[in-house]
Amino acid sequence: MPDSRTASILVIGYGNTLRRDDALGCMIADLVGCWQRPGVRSMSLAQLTPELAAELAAAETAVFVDARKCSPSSEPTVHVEPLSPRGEDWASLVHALTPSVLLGLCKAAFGQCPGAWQVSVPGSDFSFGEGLSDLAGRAMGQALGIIETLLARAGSPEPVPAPECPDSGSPQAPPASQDSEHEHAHHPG
Amino acid sequence: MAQQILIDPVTRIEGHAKITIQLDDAGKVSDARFHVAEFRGFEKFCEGRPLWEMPGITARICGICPVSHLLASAKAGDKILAVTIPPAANKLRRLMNLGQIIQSHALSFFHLSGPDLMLGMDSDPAGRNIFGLIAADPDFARRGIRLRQFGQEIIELLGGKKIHPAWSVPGGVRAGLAREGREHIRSRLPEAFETAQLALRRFKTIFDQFHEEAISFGDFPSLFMALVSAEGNWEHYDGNLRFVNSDGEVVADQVDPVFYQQYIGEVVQPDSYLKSPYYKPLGPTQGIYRVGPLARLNVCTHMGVPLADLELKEYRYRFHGTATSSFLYHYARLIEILAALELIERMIDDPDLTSDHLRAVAGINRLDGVGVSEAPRGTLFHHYQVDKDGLIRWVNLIIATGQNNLAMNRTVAQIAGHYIHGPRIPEGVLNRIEAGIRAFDPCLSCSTHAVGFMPLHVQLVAADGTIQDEIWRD
Repeated sequence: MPDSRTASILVIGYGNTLRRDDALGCMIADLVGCWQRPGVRSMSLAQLTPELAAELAAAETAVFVDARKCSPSSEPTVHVEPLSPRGEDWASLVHALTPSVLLGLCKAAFGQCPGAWQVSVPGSDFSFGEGLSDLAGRAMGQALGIIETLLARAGSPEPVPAPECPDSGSPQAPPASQDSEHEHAHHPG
Repeated sequence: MAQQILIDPVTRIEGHAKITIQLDDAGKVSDARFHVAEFRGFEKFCEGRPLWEMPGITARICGICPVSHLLASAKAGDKILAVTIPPAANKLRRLMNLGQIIQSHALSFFHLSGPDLMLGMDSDPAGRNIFGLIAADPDFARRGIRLRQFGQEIIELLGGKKIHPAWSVPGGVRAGLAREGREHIRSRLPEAFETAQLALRRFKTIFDQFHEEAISFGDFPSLFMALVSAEGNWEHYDGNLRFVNSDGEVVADQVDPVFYQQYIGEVVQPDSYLKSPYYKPLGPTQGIYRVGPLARLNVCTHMGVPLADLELKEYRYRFHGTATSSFLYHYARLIEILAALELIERMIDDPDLTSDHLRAVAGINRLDGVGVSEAPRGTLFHHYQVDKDGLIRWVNLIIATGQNNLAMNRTVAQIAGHYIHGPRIPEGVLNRIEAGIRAFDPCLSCSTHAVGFMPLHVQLVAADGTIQDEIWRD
């Protein structure tokens, strides 16, 4: 049952489950859901839609999980980056949003938005079909480990850096105003 | 010198389209067309797939209206199985369709058209969006978000997820409504009612500011088509077809959707992937008809629920019976949200909703089946032919947006003719042309299977190819 009132942490995986590696976000969110952590709700979605702003407004932390297009020979490096709300580049409302614009909508409408992270998981095969490429399969385990650490630290009273990710070179503590927008391979609908 | 105005692409709609407006030598609008330039072609690639997969496949046509396709497809499957589905499955499908109507109409009114309606057609384009709406009236915008969330939650509670739920199947549905889900829906109804009624009051308050739009946004005589119940009342899931004209006269009534091909013809235009259905007895020129909220309210005798019936009475009083302006799609949408909420309230305590008798089991008993339901945007037809093993041999989809195609062309021409006089494009007109299309809330993903995210580019082109005027919106 969708009850955002009791979930302080939202894990939102999104992508097209019929585009092979684009399913990474959904698969990871489903696995996180199986952990049944108290206060954690996972959502597996085709795309990010405006009404999610209402769910986010009730959360303290949000973790967005999406696939990132890489070459098949790439290292299975998961990127973790803090997200900030933004709305200034909102040219026209479409039905599918980016995480930062969604956070911006949340903040504008509800006066608050959760601290948020983007977890980008590499994939190489976004063709029609089901099943992950070798690259995506290897990266998924790493992504789950990172999310587990993020969830464990989410309740910490002090802001802390994100977990270390081999070769990602990215995560620092999430600054409140830093913009971070990804170009993700994404095939809605 | 003949000229052409091009709007490419049209914004704040679902999908990718462009508009061309042709001016004659005197600078008057001579023609206008709404073109859909992308193609996905589900009708063709579904051939060879098992019937059982069709609801799941066709739900993928769109991320906004998956429920509509899911239901129409499952209903076509019911016909091919030749079964009567269990009462619980019927009620649960109805509940999901009501959730779909609420979420889709809320998106259209509050998010897509709300900025035009609440901030004004001539307001600064930089702020004419949902953020501008939030800045102007945060409570109203917040309510809109939560109303759409409510509709999406109903879909998720039934189907397990809110986009592309593979829940409705030939013969019934896969799962019922959990008791907790029923409690959740009941708990959220009061706020949803408040929001719907607030939006109606607000629309009626601002309506007089849009007199020019009301008379120029596709205000013309046409036929209207929708499903009605056996009593002639508003219907969203089942029933038969009724056609009425602009005088409110019933042209055809209680038409079994199985016979739709006797009443609906389809033409294809060379410059668009959108098919153009028409009322066959009158031909493609005279047979233009509209579907969707405006049509459903024109076609029905009553809404069948008290609050919405009061609103319908006032609506008909205001517009002298049959409403002919496409601008009134917005108003009709709000009345339909209210009706959907009343129907949910009426059915939410029905014990059938938690029944576990949800599916009739049968094999292939017919080789042809037509499934029809009312999508938020209008009547949706799924027509399948299968072989004896249930493999799809032929598919015909008639989508609401396609059925409104001829009316959208005419709407664009009327708006352009009303506001454009000469080789320059007056400020605010472009948005009005787009808003005229938005009033129909077209879903091009459904009608051609396209998605897109686009800036706006408008050109005024002379017959010799010279660009006379040009506007970009990034």
